[in-house]
Amino acid sequence: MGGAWGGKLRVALVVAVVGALAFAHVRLIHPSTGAELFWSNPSSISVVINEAGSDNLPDKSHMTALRNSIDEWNRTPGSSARLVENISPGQQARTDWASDSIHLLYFDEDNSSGYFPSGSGTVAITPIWFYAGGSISDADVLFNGKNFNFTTSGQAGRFDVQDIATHELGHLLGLDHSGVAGASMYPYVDTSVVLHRSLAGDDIGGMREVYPDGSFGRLTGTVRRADNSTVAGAWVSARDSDGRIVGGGLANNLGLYTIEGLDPGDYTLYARPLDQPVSSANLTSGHVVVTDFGATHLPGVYTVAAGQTKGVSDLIVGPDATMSLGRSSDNFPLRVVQGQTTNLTIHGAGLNPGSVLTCSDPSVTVSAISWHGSLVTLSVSVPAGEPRGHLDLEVSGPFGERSILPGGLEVTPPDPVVLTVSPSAGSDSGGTSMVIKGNHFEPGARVVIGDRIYTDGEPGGCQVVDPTTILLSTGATVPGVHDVVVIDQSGVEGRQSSAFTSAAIPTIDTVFPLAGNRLGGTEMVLRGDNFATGLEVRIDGISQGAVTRDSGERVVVTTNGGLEGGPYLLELENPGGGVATSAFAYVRPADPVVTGLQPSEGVPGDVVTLSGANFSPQTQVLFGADPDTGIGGVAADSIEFLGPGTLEVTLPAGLAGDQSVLVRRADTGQADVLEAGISYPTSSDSGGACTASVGLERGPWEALRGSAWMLVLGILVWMRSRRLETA
Amino acid sequence: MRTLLTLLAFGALSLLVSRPLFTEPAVRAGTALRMDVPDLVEAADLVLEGRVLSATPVETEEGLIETEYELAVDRTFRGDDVFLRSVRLPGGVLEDGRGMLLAGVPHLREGEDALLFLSHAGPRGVRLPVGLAQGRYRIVTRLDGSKLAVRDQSDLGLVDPSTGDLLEADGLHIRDYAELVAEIEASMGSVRSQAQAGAPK
Repeated sequence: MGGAWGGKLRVALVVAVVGALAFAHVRLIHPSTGAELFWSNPSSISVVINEAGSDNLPDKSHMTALRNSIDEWNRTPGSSARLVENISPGQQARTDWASDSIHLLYFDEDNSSGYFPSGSGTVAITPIWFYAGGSISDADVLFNGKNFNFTTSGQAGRFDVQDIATHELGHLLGLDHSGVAGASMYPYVDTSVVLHRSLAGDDIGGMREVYPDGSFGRLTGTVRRADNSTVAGAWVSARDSDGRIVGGGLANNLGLYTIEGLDPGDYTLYARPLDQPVSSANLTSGHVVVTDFGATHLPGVYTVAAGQTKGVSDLIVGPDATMSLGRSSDNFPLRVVQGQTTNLTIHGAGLNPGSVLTCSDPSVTVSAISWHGSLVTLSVSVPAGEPRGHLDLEVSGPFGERSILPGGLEVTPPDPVVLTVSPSAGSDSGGTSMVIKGNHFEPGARVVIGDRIYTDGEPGGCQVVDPTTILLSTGATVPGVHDVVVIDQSGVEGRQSSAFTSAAIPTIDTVFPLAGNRLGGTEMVLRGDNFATGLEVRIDGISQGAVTRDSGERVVVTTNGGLEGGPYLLELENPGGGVATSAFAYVRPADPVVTGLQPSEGVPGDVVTLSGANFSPQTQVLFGADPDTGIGGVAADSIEFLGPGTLEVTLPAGLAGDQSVLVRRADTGQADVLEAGISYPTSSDSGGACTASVGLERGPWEALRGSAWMLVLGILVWMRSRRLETA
Repeated sequence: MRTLLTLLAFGALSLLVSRPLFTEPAVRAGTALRMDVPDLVEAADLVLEGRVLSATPVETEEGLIETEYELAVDRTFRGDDVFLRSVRLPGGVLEDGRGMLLAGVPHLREGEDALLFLSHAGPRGVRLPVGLAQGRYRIVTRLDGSKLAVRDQSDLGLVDPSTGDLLEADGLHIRDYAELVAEIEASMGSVRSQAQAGAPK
């Protein structure tokens, strides 16, 4: 240390309110009474995510990011605290965050809170209300959407919603800052950091102390100097057998410390002065913090069982050191990746040539590249398969001085890589079986698609089959084109942009007519559902140019024409995906055209003349068929072919009022229809003599709904070709 | 026992040097940008140095708790120069013990000499220290009469028992008072220059 104002003896004096023991992590306290803040109903702390979210995130991806943060705290093993999201739309629409009746996660886009005036420099804040005894009555998380930009997709220069939220939710739960550089409650954040998304052992220890659910081990002891005097406010950390830091805490003013929330296992301990990068200035008041000693390891390994409180030997600290490792300007935790070598820069003091860098995991190789006094550059090589977690870095000087940076490194897997997503589209109502292929998928991963989160191994979640495959079945998803994001438990992520379209999937119920002239120009009506604006219709892969969407259930296509044959695949594709299929055939004959009847009124048994074009002896005539589908109608009693432009037909019985007239080539399925082409007397016109039900009879083509039409159409085309061959 | 006595001695010394420190609430950081002095000056609406005469907690109709501070202003670097000024900051504790804190917002204490970088007033008249705790320096006097500017958020003082000097502790920002004032003035010069350059001709 030894700054401009330095002296050898450094004592931090704070309010003379000293608890009996100081535990790992730090809790928020009542500013006047010193009571630690807590929720009295920790198992059901209701929170609401404001639906509007950030104006930087029109896709509402703040929802999933915040839910991931909530889930991260809820997954804390050994803690009874649960944040329970209230998803009532009425609650999500509320903005009255100050009300005691709602604990809101809210993006303040216009400084309605008054806490984000211009130039405040505040990115997010957590107001907490409490009673004199320390119980929390209300807490909310406010993001400064007015002055800062947020991201859920790693956009540079923007604050990661999940990273910020995880930190702020720790405050909401009653935690203050941690001296562990890799903890989510580490005081400093940066736009380039996402590793606070995942809790560190120290955060977990905090939750276990405040809201315990289970029986955990404790290590307790005293920090002393060589002259047997005690050391107040020393920061004591515990490492597990993998060298991962699992917690830490301040000794009290008598040098006593207790590290709580330990799983059964073997631990080693060390003490260090709380100076950099987190100092007493970052912690709650109520502690005496002494920093005039050097970082020192406690010899031996200590084993604790569940529920056991184990006293350990006095931790005798050495003399103060002039070197220190880590500054708040470093973006901790520094990430190192399994199976990779990473070059890093860490600031500090006294980092001079001749010093030695080591890591709490001996299988991780740390090599100094260059020493510059106030900084050191180093490379860190992590073997593949190394356990993830937070590692301490330690620097030792040539004269025995030492500084330890607790949890400054975080071992993570490589970023997940999403290569393919299949299928690329599915119904917004869910039910699509999806296969995600890629690399570096690890157990416990989450998949985010639109507003849905799928967590490995949870009901309705996903299944990490192996490092290259994830399976899931989609749930109801907000419509749109979505990234598919795989988030590792460490918080690192991989994504495939615009990889999945969630949409109402179109369906085709009818195609009318089923065939058209090979030269094109046939007006075809598609009936079905979920026809979206901007859709495309293809026949045999050829996009049809003249497509009119009348509604979500009706589309009219004027065919381009194509090679005689088929039935060809008919596809209707909504923008962004979602395809419905049917079939259509191109045939040689010209399409029949009906232009009028003479007379246009009649009664059953009357003979009328049907005018048009391209009639043939095979032309059928039906009255009262559905003009969009060709379904229904009553066949003419008789048809006489007088020529390609004229038919004489006898009106059938059983109809009333204006009726369509449909002509159809029986051999090809080509058809044309004249709406209201004939007018029958209504029941009032005929004195009730005519009681026919219009259009209720099933015409022969109605049976062709579904897939049977393909077979029939094929037969028709085959028959046509046979006739041509015969001719 | 020796350590305890030493601590008590340090405590007494610290009390002489920075008595107001002993009632200050702890840091509770929200999330704020790291800012240096020029950043603070540029972002602030009001930069002043003064003594806190009173602190009055109030509860708003919306249920928010805020504290009204009355300041005797020694010097105004930016903003209207008035001798007495009231500023309202969020958070505080009411007489009945109910309270509200906002992570990272420092509280001022009666009698404290402070150098403040304050934001524009919000809709309710509430200002925030720019950059939360970064926007407030406490001005303390050493035993030799020289001044220091200490930026921290806790009831913390680092004291060299032999000289009475405040010591630099990591996480604390201890500046020579005159040096800090000079930097503020220089930053204000830059702000004025920019304003003149942007003013209509």
